[in-house]
Amino acid sequence: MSFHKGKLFLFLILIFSTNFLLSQSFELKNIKHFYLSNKLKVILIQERDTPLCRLRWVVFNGESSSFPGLEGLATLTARTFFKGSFLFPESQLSRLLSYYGVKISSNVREDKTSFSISLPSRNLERFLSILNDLLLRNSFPENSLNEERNLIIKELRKRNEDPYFLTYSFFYQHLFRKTPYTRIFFTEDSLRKITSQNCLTFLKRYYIPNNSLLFVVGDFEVESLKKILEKGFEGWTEKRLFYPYIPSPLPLKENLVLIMDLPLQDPYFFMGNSFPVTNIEERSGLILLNEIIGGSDFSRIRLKYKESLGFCNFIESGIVFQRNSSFFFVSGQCRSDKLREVITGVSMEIKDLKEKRIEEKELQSSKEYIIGDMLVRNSDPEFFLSTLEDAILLGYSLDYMDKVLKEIESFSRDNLLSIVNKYFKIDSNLIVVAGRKDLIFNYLKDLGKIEIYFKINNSWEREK
Amino acid sequence: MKIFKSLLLFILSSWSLLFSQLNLPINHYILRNGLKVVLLEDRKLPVITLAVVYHTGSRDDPVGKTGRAQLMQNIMFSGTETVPPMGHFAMIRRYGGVVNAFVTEDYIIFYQTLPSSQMKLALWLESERMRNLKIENSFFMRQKELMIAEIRRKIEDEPFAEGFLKLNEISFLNFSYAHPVMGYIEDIENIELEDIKSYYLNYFQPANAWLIMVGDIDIDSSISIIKEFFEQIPSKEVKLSKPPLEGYRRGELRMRTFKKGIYQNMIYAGYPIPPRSSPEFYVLKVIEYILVHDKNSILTRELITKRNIVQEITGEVEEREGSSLFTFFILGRPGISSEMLFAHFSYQMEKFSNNVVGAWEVERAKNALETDYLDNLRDTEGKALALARLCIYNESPHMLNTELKRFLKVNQFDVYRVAKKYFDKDNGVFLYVIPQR
Repeated sequence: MSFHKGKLFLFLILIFSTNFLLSQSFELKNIKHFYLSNKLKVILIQERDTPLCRLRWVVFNGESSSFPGLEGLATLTARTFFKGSFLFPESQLSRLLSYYGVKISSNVREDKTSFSISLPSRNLERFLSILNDLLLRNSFPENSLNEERNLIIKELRKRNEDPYFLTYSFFYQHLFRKTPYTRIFFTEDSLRKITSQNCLTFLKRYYIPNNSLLFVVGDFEVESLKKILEKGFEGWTEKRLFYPYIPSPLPLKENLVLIMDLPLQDPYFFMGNSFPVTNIEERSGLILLNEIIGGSDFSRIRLKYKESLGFCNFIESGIVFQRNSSFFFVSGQCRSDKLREVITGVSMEIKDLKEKRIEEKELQSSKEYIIGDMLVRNSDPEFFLSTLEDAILLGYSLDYMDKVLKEIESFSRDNLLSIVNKYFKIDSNLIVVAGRKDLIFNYLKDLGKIEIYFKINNSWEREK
Repeated sequence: MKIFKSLLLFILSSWSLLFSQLNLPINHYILRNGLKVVLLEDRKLPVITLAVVYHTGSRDDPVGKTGRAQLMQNIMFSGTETVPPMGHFAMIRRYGGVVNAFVTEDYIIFYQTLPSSQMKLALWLESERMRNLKIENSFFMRQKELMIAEIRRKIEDEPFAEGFLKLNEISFLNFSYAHPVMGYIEDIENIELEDIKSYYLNYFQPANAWLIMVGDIDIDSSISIIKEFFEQIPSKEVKLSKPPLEGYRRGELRMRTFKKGIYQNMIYAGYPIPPRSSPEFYVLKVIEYILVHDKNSILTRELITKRNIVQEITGEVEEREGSSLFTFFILGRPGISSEMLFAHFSYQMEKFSNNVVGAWEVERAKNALETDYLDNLRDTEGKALALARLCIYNESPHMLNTELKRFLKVNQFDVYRVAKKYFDKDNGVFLYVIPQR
């Protein structure tokens, strides 16, 4: 009886999945793009159903551009940017923004600084004149700077208590060692050294129109908005561009295992490697591969090590694309005595993908999942704008999403085989494990070269 | 100068009203079995959100069996003859969709966002569990265990949550709203499989539900598909409970706590207010933004920035179909006594309710509220949830196009009138939580 029901369920899945892949597209409607006279790239997306305006302003410099010794500068600059100018002192500005119904948040990554701004459409022009003033006459008021600094320090302390985050930051800092990308993990010490003048210097150097992108989504007339923007950014002029030199990380020749000695019952781990990615086709293939390996509830390692064997509290894979270098990782938390089995098991899954073509059925269902997931996630405009800004950061065009979907749809088993062989490694990965050294060392000792780290005061020291 | 300022604010305020009309093409139908259907076309992306809202919530929990509605939410994933337990969740996830549900005092909502090409799948799954939910004892027992574990975790991990539960208990005389939505552990242990089965049969009927679909849909073909899946489901009459409209306690209560994570004195305050459907709700919501929305709001400004006696203050107009509460949570700075905290808070509330607030404050609050209101409608899910609220509280999904105007019409005199009516010190309930070492 239960077999019969199971078959019926599968049958129903098949009925509903018919033609799923043929019908998906990501066509952007009512989109226009142009440059203002100061070379600011503007992308307009007209949506007339609600009188709200959503702006996303992106500066293509992030924490990797913070000055050496002043790591955290990009973050503090962004967080203090909307606090005051010589024309609008801090108390007045905060009340004015609040009065216009302006909601602002900022996000700083390695390669970019983004501001998300929402407000009633009718207040756009007034807001732009404030923004212009902040760009030209920002004062980075001392009080606000200290307030934000203290808040960031609080957040840092909280983050540093989280073993997952600690393992990730250790993994990232070793993967991108000796590159400015590691500045994203700034410290309290460097943050404390930053002054208003440093923020101002950062602003003058990087917050320039020819290094920025402005999305405007909402209810407006295109021609009149063009005029408003041209007037709103008057006096903000183009300048020479500066990008930090970011060397590619040195490739590993063998597995390198880093043990962080932490009193955890179940250890956390991160493993993976970095690589440069060049075109949409390969990027789409990597997105698909990530899904097959560990990107969703239906992926191989999740089904095996979490659902079926129950070795892991969680296990997942991820792929991160950056301007100069990208990386693939698998992370998880599992029982100490199963650590070795899980880590070698992940390598075996990748080896399997490298040696034989994936079954058509698995490929199809992974495509269905990832395409649906991309559509659903991007239905949130904030997520969607962040996807588009990433695409532009990496030099892709505005139809990027549609292209990625089409590439994924048409990806064959052979294409996938060549991508996995080009990018994925099984014996030269960086493996970081946070847990009790006495419990985990024996399970890791023959996986590669081992380094052990202990926390002394606030830093991690390598065992000699 | 003052006249000029007032005139300018009046012009700005009137101008905002001109722009506050939404143009969402909302369609409303009632099927033969009484199921109410709301469709909204939004073709930005090939995605839909499908929500099914049942007009029953924790207010229908029987005495001694609180948590029944919350448990029912989980049991609705137990499957049918053709869908295995948790199969609903798995099938939507398989196509990259997300499934969600929550329970309030007045309704239970299930919603999913997924590619529009899978619309039929979502409709089929919802129709299956509306028609013929199959509740196995093992699934029921497992969900009970999980729910009890979740409550224990919540009580343990969220030190401030207990105060809000207590505030409800002491504020409402009527049991329906006084008990927590998630129920009491000992009551959940008392719930039997038969309680859940009869709850399902009595309330989870087409005539007691709203089906809301927003996104990349064609209205004509969607309604025929919906009819195909749902119209044949037989419906029986549902005896709806009446939302409680009266019955509050007033006064003070002191609670000493040994809870980890509580080191400072705090006050939970509740003022009785009318239902969500009342015209005064709109004024009260504007008051929420005037008093506690951001650091420019009056209470935040006065108690945190200027006087530095409060570490955190939040406030909320709680939305209920029956009578409700305007709640505040005030966390004192270390060393500040409960008496001092209360004296400052009640002084500010008295000052606010006995004076006409500046027009500037009202405009600021309305602008911020407008941004939040519209921002919540940014995707298909946000629109579906907003429609669901209006279906339950006002029985009018079309109000989504005009509701914003009701907030934006509020002026400083409305604020004065309503604040005076509801924020009397003798009208509130105040719970003092005092940490013990």
